[in-house]
Amino acid sequence: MARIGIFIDGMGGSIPAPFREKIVSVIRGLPEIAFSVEEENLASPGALQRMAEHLKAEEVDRAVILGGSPKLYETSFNKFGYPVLLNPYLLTVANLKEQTLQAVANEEEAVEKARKMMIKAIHLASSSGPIESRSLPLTPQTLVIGGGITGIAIALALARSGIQVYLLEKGKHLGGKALELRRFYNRPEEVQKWVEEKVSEISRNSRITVISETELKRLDGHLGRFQATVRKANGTEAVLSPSAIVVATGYEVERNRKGIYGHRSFISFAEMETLLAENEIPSLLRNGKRVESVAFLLGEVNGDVKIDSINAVKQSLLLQEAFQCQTVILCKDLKVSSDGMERLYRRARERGALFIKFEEPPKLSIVNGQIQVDVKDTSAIRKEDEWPLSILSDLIVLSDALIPNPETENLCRILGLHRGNRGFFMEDNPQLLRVRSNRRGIFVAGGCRFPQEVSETLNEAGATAQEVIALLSGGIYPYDLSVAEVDPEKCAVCLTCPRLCPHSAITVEKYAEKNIYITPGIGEGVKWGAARVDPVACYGCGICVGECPAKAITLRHQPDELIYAQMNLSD
Amino acid sequence: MVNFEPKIVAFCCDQSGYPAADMAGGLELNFPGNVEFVRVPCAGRIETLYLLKALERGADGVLIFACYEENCQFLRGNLRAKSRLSYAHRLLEKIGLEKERIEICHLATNCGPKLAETLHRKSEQLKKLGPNPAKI
Ligand code: SF4
Ligand code: SF4
Repeated sequence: MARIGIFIDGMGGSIPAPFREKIVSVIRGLPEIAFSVEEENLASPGALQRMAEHLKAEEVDRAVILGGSPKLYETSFNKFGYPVLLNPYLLTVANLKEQTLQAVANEEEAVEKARKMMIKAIHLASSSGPIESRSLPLTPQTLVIGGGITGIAIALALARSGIQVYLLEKGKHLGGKALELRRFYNRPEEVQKWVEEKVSEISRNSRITVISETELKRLDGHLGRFQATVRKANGTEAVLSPSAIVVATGYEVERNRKGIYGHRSFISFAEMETLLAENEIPSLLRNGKRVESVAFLLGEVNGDVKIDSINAVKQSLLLQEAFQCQTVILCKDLKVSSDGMERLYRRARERGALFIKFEEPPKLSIVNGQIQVDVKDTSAIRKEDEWPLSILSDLIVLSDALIPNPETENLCRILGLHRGNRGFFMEDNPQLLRVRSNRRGIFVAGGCRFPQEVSETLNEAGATAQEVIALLSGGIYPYDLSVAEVDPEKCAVCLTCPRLCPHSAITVEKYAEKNIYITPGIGEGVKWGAARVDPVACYGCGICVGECPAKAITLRHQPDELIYAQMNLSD
Repeated sequence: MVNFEPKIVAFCCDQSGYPAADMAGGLELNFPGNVEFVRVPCAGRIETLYLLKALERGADGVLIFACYEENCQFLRGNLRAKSRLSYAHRLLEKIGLEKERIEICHLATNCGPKLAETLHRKSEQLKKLGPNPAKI
């Protein structure tokens, strides 16, 4: 018989003593109840300490808390540690505060209800079993996919912390999109020089192995035991075994110049960067002709105008200050929310850049071989003051659509990741877990999540490196078996669960004989395949458990019995 | 049937329904008398069988409190729950039981009032429908 210890939490007076007494009195003296103690505030470190001592002294094997919400205790246990000697899964909570006292108006009914809740909790505690804790050794090895600035910055940060990095690049050189950029908006140095420096730092670093002209072909295994098959352009293949993987494949630019947009006056931001870098101050020449006025037309192609805003203001300032050009920035919205942008924007205005806000897209026409932009400025406060304007500029800089890298879809399939907004890689949680993917041990960073400005990307690279270091630095990954488990005997290999698992934790694997899983590479005698949940990769959501048509999967910490016990219905 | 107090089994997703129930209690919004909360890690954990078994074992109604669509921590657990619910509805129709007895309600952590309101509405509705005839 289970021996149960009862802890009664007064919750700082929210559960009054007479009420507690009325409830506990019914179970006093029952053989399975070892003791019951009262605490005024059980979720505090001191009380938890006393709780541990009680559990030890009385040799109980289950505990029931009568108090507030289980969430409250879970938070404080996670913070201060579970009371020693007790497996967290052997402890249940009856919520006498929110679900009883505060939810039932009538005192008598509340007592009745609370007693029922207590009995249910005791029943749950005695029918639950312990869940084993384990740990997985992690080697400090990582694979970073993509050799753009995100990949470069992450690789360097990881190497600095003593982690071995394979940096995979499908092209010949490192640098990626940043090589098209000449200047940062918020740093004095030139982008190219900065990249060159970082690349040479990488080549000197013995912890980073750059594997260029290589793509990822296949990925097996899970956190700590990934097996990545990579193929070089010349067809040779190699297998790497990183503990964690970072995806930093960046984005692509889609240049769509049809109809009037094919006119020679239109150029892209990237072309403008090159033009600015190639020309000698103080005169800007394009195809031998002097450029005196430039208009920036910020489109709505990307759903976010941040990058275009930064580039437009940055280039406009350079054009005004170094090349004496008149600049006009036409936009529906302008976003100057990044660090230092407000200042740049003000400076551009002070130097005479015109900012025109439109509601309806400007009309474009060709007048005397030049592009004329007709637009109504709606930035005036009064409606009557809105001006129709015609602008003739030597050059018009246009926004390009920033789209996911074409390999994204294929990579997602290989890596078992999800695609989110507009086809980019999806993060686990856009607010809280920005650089984690849906799979444990795989991170997504930089422009492959959504197009970003360089400074943002570098911040994100730092954040990602921190996450990877935090994961790997301990050398082990502690986990417990509160996960799903397949009974290979029952599995019909219908492939429902591998498809449904949001964390790609299920694969069809080989078993030697009944219920004996063969770790890949060890032993012979492959008999049959069945689904297998990797306990390190599983988040314990139970989706596969609910869906398996053969009822072959159980959630170890919440089997059917515990669900039925919670329903508290007759059998 | 004067004092019929319907028994409701309320499955609560740990991400939304359960904290919402805590919040409703914290706001001292009364729950109908006969509700059993079942805490599940995700609405995707709820099997079709549980919905039916709950009715079989004596519940008069079943509610699923799941996250709003596109808000599931596990991507589509709430959608799986929804599709299992419609499967359960089809089975109920076949055996001639009112399908209103099982219902899903999408909410978020801060929807305590919505949860309490849904429970009350369900309870009233079940009072009109009468006790579940399929109890064994
Ligand atoms: S859903 Fe069930 S039967 Fe189908 S593959 Fe998974 S474990 Fe096997
Ligand atoms: S419980 Fe959830 S995370 Fe774990 S294997 Fe099943 S579906 Fe995947």
